[in-house]
Amino acid sequence: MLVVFAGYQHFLFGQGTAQAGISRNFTGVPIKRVLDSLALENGLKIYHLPSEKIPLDTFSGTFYKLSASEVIRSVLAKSDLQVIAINERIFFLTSALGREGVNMNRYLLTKAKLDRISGSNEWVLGHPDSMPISGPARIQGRILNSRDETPVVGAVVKMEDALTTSDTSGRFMLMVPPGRYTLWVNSDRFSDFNQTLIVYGDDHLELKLFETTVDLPELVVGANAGQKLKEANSGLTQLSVKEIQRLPSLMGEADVLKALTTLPGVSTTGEVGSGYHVRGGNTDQNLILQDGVAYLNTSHVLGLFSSFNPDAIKNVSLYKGHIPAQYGGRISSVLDIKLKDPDMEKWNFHGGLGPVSSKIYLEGPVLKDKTSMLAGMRFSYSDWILKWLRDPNLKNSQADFYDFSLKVSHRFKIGNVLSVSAYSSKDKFNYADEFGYGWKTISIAAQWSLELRPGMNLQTSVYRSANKNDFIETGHDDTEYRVESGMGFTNAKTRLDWQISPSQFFQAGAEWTGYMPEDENYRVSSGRETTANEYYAKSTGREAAVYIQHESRISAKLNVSMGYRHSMYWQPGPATIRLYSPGQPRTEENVVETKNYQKQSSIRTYQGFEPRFSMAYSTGPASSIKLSYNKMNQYIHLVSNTAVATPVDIWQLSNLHIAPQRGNNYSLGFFKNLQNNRWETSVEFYFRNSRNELEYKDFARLLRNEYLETEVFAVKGRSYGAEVFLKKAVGDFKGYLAYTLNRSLRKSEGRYPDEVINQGKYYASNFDKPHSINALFDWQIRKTFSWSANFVFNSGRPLTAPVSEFYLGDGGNFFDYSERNEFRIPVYHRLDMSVTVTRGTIRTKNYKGSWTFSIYNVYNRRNAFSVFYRRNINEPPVAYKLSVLGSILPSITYNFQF
Amino acid sequence: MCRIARFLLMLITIPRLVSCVEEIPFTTGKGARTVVLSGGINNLDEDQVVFLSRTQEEGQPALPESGAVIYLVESSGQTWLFYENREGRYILPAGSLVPEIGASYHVEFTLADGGLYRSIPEILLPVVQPDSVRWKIGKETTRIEDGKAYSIDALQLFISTGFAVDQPDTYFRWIVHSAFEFTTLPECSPFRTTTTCYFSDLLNPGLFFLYDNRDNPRGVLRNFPIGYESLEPNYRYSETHYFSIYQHRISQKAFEYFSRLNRVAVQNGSIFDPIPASVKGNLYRVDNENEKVLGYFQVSSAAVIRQRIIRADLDGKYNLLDKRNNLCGLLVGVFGSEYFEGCCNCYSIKYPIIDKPAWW
Repeated sequence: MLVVFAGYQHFLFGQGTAQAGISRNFTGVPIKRVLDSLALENGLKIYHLPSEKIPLDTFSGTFYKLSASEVIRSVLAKSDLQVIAINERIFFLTSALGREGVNMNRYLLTKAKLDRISGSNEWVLGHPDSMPISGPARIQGRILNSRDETPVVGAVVKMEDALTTSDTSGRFMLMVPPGRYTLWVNSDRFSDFNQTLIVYGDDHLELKLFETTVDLPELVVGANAGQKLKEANSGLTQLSVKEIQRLPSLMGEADVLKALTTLPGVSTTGEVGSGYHVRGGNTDQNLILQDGVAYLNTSHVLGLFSSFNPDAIKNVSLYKGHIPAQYGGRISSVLDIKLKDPDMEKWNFHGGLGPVSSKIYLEGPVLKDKTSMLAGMRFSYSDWILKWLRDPNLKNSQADFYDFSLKVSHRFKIGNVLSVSAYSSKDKFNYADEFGYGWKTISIAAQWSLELRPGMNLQTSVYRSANKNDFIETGHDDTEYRVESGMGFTNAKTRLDWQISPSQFFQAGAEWTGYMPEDENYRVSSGRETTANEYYAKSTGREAAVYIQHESRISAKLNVSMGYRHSMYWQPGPATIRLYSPGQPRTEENVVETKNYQKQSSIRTYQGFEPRFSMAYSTGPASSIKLSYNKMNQYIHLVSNTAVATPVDIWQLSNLHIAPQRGNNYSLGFFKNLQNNRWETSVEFYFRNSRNELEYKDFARLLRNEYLETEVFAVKGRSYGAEVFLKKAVGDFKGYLAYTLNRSLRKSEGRYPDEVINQGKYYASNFDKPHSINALFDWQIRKTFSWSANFVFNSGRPLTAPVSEFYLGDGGNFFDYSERNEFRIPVYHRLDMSVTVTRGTIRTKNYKGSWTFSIYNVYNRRNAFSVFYRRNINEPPVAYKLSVLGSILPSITYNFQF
Repeated sequence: MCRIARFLLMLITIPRLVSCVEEIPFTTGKGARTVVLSGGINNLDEDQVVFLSRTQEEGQPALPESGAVIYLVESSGQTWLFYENREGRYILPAGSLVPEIGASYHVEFTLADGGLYRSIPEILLPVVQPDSVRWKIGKETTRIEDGKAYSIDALQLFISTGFAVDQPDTYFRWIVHSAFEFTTLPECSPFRTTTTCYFSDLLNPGLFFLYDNRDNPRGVLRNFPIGYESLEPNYRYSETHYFSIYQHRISQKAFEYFSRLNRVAVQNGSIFDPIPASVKGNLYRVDNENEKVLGYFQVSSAAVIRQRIIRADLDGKYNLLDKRNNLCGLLVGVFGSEYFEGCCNCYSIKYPIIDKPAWW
């Protein structure tokens, strides 16, 4: 029930005084007019709810030196209205006393208390006379950067239990009962804001935050631990950029993706390999967005480093349970990385010097208060590491990379901002003189953010990106074989965000994606002469989606988020499609027709029905239960026949023969915070069933194959597990400990021998690692000295191993292999540590520097990346393990900022 | 300053150990007694050989399977019976089989336990003669010891050939036998007599040299590598050396089978290694097709070309050990050495000895 004082304000205002008592005579005067006269003549204020009408009856009577309250009570004696005297000047008329939850006594006490404590140090919101009789006051506001008055997005605004975040225009709204509060506002890059408030009624605030002076950006997420309990966002994990920076890292290179893999439910297959796995999903089942642009390849040097520049990152969110309807196209998780909004007032320069790579980053105004930009670049000089390796082939190998980010923002006015960003990344890896790989990513994007009205924003963006890779093999007589392929995207989307009220949020949008793979190009050259130049056509695809999402606080204990996304995917022409004999395996022998489709014809269409649901129920002041369900569709597939994904694996679109992956994700979690949110604990259970995941046939020919459907087939997937999490969120010593039980299984249901794996039984996927333990500790020992450590333990990944050997008389000895992924390599565990020191470095008002000493693999464990067998001539076979990073790896990095 | 220097030195030296391959104890506890048949027939007037064995428990080599009855069956219905000339080795002696180009053949065998097995028939395709073979000395990478890679001097063989004109796709497999002679030193005999022995073995066991012309349908193949032999000091190049290169024209299925074996044979554990799998050949058990049977019965048309190399061909290109002064050593003071044993008694040389071939 929302009651505003405006209903009273227009009614009765008196001007006189009633201190001497009221003497007056009324004969047949309507009661309303009697009250008007009393107020006017005696300076009284008489309030009532608009819904509670003054009786139309007339009043007759005489008063002599009676108090105002006696007079009014007499006038209203025959009505249902009761009279509450705040003092002898202010009166409330109400029939609600004791009804509809209105406790007038509490109201009066509150008001009296507020009147008493109201002083110069507090901000008073609302007018004392406007205090609502029941219900909360609406506090609206806007948070701006004090330097350029740009909106501060995502700031946490807290008034006791009421908590919200500012939207894209910096606006927020809280509903609180009248009372005394401490307003606390927190945002990355800005100093905390604290202010005592006396809230009488509705009001508006404009807050300006000052940028913090810490060295590195910090996104404080743990601070809103109490709020997180209530939010219907099961499985959402946000990682502080500062935590990422402090995490012990390989060769001192802070790494967003490596940091993510320290979280429960997230893992990599090994020290190399592109991508990561979330809750038993494959790497291709993760949607990875940077400022709204989807990326396929996220790593450098075969997965040793991620391709995202941490200096340019504002915040990182990983959705591994509930996935809001605005996201689609992948069935496992969404990683949403937001780039910083460039500084509008002054130039900042960051840099870092590391043993394998260096980085520079700058941001600042181009036109003050109008246009700003940021640019960041990292580049490697990692060849020298390879020179240290013992393997002569690796010694003669080469690995280089760079990445470059650029963002320009122009503010037409507050709430109307256009941003254009570009990203480029390139890797080159040559293995001796035998083969080489290269891959690169280029993207350009534009985003327009428009505030339609307070609380309502429209986000519109468009981007185009290209992911290219090549594989080169050197044959005899210096013949070079080169295969080039790529995948491009064109995407346009628009989204409306509407904060209807503090408890109601609505979102709706539409998205269109064009999948544009490049035809695979195969070239053979000898010297300068090209002896073969062939193209293998790849199917294209288009996806359109619309969605709505509604988040609401049903009650103080129950928050619900519901959404629906409807996607539609179609394979357009032109294309040449093989049709296979029905009931026969898709092989070259069973082709019955080759059909040509014209341009713009639709070869095959798939629909995707994607309901999303999540709820959080507070079981106590610091505990909650959350559950979620998502149905997801995925129209792009990664096809690989190696144990781990590589950047040069093949991306295949759904087409006539390859159906979309469809997944149902369920999660249930119990969350409890202890000691006033000092400790966070949780247990989350999850389950996913999926179908149409692509599995390769044994010895599949994936390259130079126009008809990949002959080499792959669909399997069912099933993942389930539990995550147990304990986190110390505040204090100088912070950290977390997590245990994850995770199974990731697959099952082939093929009708043909080539499409049956392990006799059609469930088998472990390549990334099935049942047990994982992650621990992260971060200790700020002194202001200038911090220590952090990270421990990882994983079950060994599955392995297809030899079970016997046999002799071919004219060929030698060979191994016969087990069923797919029947065994496991040894367990993986590793401890890393780092210290960051600012003491002793140059540190002036404008220049800040810090040293980070990092040790990767502290106890020098030679973790197995793989296990394989070899035999020496005339000797039994021997098992070997390959340790990619089988050594302690210390490093020093110097970071600076001015 | 000294401490800083030591610290920097540590930072530089520790990463030297960064990547490593090492032996580990790893057992699967699995293993099955699976039937294995290999070998095949071709058009050459030589012994046609098949090998029959059974796999054993993990870590144990397969054991020869004796007592089987093995028939070669032609599409016309004519059959030939192999006989076992050595445990697990069954032959059709040279001259007993004159296969017909264009006919299809399969093998059918019954084990002592009564199990009946068969191969999928394959057609004997027309022969493709190789044009030439050449050799050179170069570097090869080998990993035969402790799993690490070594670069070695090796004699490398290359072949040039045309393709079949009768059908678009031609699949080749080359099998190379390396043969050499060795004559004992006269000093070993009180009568100063000498003995000359002949040795032959398979070159590069465990590797298949294969080529298909699907990407090169009209061209010819020039200088395609088909094997290499280490030039480490040994007896091989002391006198005359022969490479016998068998160019087998095989079926597409055979090509795929051996290609797959190649893919699983060379595992480095690297990120690019395809996941291995059991390789299915063309054999099956008649009354239970689900039973795994390993191996392949190859029906091929073959042509042979030989490359003769004498010591003089290598002198100056490679620093071969001299038989008298280095390889066998001076007699005085080297009694009991392995070299001496071989130099005096060629039967002690650890290679399969053969009769002097007719083509020598």
